[in-house]
Amino acid sequence: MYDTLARKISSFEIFDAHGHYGSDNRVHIPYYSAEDMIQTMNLAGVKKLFISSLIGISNNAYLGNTMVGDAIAKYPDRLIGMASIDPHKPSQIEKELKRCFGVLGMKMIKLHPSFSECPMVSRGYQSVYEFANERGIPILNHSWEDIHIVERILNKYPNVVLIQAHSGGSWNGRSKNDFIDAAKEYPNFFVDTSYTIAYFGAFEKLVDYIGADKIIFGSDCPYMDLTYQLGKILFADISIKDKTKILSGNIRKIIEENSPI
Amino acid sequence: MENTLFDCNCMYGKWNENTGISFINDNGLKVYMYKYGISDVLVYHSIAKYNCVITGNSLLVKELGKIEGIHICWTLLPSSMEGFTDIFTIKRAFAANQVRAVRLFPKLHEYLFKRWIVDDMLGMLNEINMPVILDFNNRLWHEQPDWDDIYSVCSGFPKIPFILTRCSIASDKYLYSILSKLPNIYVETSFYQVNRGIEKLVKQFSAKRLLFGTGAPVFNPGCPITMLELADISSEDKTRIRRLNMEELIKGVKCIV
Repeated sequence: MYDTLARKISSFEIFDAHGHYGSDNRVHIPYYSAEDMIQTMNLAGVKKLFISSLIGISNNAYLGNTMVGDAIAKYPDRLIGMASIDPHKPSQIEKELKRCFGVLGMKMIKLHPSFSECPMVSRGYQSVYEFANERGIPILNHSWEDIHIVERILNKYPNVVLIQAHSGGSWNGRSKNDFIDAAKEYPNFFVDTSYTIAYFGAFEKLVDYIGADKIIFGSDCPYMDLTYQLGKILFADISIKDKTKILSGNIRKIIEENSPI
Repeated sequence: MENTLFDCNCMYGKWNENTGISFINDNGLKVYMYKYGISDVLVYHSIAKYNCVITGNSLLVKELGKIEGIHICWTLLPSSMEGFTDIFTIKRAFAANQVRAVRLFPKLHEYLFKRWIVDDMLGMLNEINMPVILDFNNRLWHEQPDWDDIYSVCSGFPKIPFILTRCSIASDKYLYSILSKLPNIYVETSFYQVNRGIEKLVKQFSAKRLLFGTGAPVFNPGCPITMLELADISSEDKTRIRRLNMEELIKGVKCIV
């Protein structure tokens, strides 16, 4: 089985669009330094990993972004930075985002309204959408707020590509999921594949329902094991073409519309 | 054979939730096993889990008994042990039906996992070294069973290998302590997605404490297979986790004929 998996992995270019940097006391993260992350990527055959700081998305955006900046400067060919912001300090957001994209070389924004305990419609987040909309910067968003709020943002900021982390919650392949429905409808709305619960057959149903063009591989590593998250795609009963899109094609296209990876 | 897998966590029988994938005959189960490189599977019955342990166990033996590579796991319940009044009866029943392990669902079956409730049942299983799979039916990563109960019960029956299912990214605070204190605790891997957590557990406790499982057909087998196969551990350690540990636990059961 190892040989089979190694062959599967080597036949794809794999970009992981949902990674983090750092640790979190609530769970056990044994390996989280920049070197650890590179080794983790090598074990999984992942070429590039998008990272946002766990300190940055929950507590101290400036410190977290600086740490991510150091990591991507050390491994510019492997790690891609995602900027964090503090939505409770709207006046500082634009300056921090300019630092992240102008100085630190980041490519995407990671929002975590749940951790930040701040609604997506807050003034702070509005300034992020405006910044991203002007520059065509994609946003990875972890929030389970009302889909109508998301739809308002998608309509108001058409240049923003919004990626729904975890597809809005581990989908079981049957229940109604507003985020998945919205991904089908809105061209600038995508879902990622990081699920804590991987129901058997649900991933194939997702591909069948919204199409591979709207799905982006993300693992949430190092919260969760990168190889574990990859498994549902490698083994999925879908075409090689669809796997290629999900594993790197879609995110590459989104990012390259703004700047080359 | 050493590269094939022994899935110690698999459910047989009709099941309607989520995508509705079920193994409803031996052929369906075999097709699943072949696709994922699984040569052996330890199965319990969905009816034993969701409806009635006696009916489910009986159907399991009737439908899957004596098929190569398929191993029987009975579900037990403290309130359904009338037929098993003594160790001789239980040994005879297990031997006749080729029962290789027992599974408990304390949370789903609405009983507390306390010594005074499971003492009689586990006392008999302890005499024959019968592996006991503990399933607290937790779905979410932050849902945790009562680890105090697990420690208290498992420490009282040292000859039972207790296999913990659905250990998650939030389990290690308890898991590392209980593994270091109780040698009869084993971790089943289907939901264990701590980043490179298999490597870490192997380094700290050796590969002997891990058992490969999928949770199929409820959960996606591709995830735990990929995690194990790509783990940065030796091939000997992988073989142990893939199948050898489970084989040894089964061989250790005293009533097998």
